[in-house]
Amino acid sequence: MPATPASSSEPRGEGGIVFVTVGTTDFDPLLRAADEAAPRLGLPVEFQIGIGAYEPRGGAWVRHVPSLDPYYDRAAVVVAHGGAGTILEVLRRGIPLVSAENPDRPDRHQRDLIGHMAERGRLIWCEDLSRLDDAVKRALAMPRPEPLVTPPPRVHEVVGDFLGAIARREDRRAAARRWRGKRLE
Amino acid sequence: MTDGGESDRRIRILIPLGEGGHSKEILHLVSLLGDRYDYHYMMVREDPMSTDRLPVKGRVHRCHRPHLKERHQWKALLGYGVLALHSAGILLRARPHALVHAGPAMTIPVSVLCKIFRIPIVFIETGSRVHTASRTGRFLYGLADLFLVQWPELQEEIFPDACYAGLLL
Repeated sequence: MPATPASSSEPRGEGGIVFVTVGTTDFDPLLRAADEAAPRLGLPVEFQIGIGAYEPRGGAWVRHVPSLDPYYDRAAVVVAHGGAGTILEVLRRGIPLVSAENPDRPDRHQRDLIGHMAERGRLIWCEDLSRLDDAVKRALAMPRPEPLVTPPPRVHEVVGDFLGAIARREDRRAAARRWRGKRLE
Repeated sequence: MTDGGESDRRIRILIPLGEGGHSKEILHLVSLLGDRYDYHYMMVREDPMSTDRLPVKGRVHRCHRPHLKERHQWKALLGYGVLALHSAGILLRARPHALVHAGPAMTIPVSVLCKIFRIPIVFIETGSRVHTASRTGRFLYGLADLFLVQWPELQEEIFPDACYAGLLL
């Protein structure tokens, strides 16, 4: 039904939206669970559905967008798959997050970061999609979290040093050994 | 080779681009490394990512994409065979001085070939790995010259010889 994408500039009421995102792949069980829960959440729900087959009826949806920022700006809570990029960008913005693992991803790796952040109280891990509405309500009831701060990457310093050694035809083993077991904060 | 001398040569780096998160990480690294190097990118034919999104321009080499979830295992194996042939062709054309990547599994054939041809390998374990290693990561731990992780926990718990230098995601 609502094949028109949600207008990103349209302002919403005070409460904001529940934004459901599955990233670039498909995660129909999450979309279906959120769609079924939508009438009970008390806020408008909008979906980004990726390449999935399920088309939600409980709110506006869009397949892919160049940037999720306009949605994040209006979101009171984000409901998302467990992709690392999404988890980090939502937590860095200080938006309450409900994460669900996509069990179709290779060796169920999404459990790793979701579990890590859930243990630290950074997000709510919805392990049972039939109880997604409880998880969203808990996320809405919690105070707005402090934005997550991660140190800026220094990977390029290490890789640049190693590539420099190759460019100068130095011993690459010695160059690699300089960084073995090191921890740059 | 035409370059040489005392100062740094301009070197060629081969960057395999896998899927979503892996590509995002490695392209962020390319943007941080800047244009001091000549980049060659290896992408699967079906990759929907536009080459406009490459932070530093470079030659794009297309390759076959094997499917691990293939119903018949021999089909997946055959897919990796085709990818290995493409990878060898790309190495001959690009003649890189180093291979830099962050997975996923489609980077394994090119990594093995680089090891055989003594081309240095830099591997960054993907940022979704905090306490558990990816299979590609475990494999590359024995292969890579320089091995980085994006969480200190992973260095402590699984890869003690790795270097931790922050998150690329």
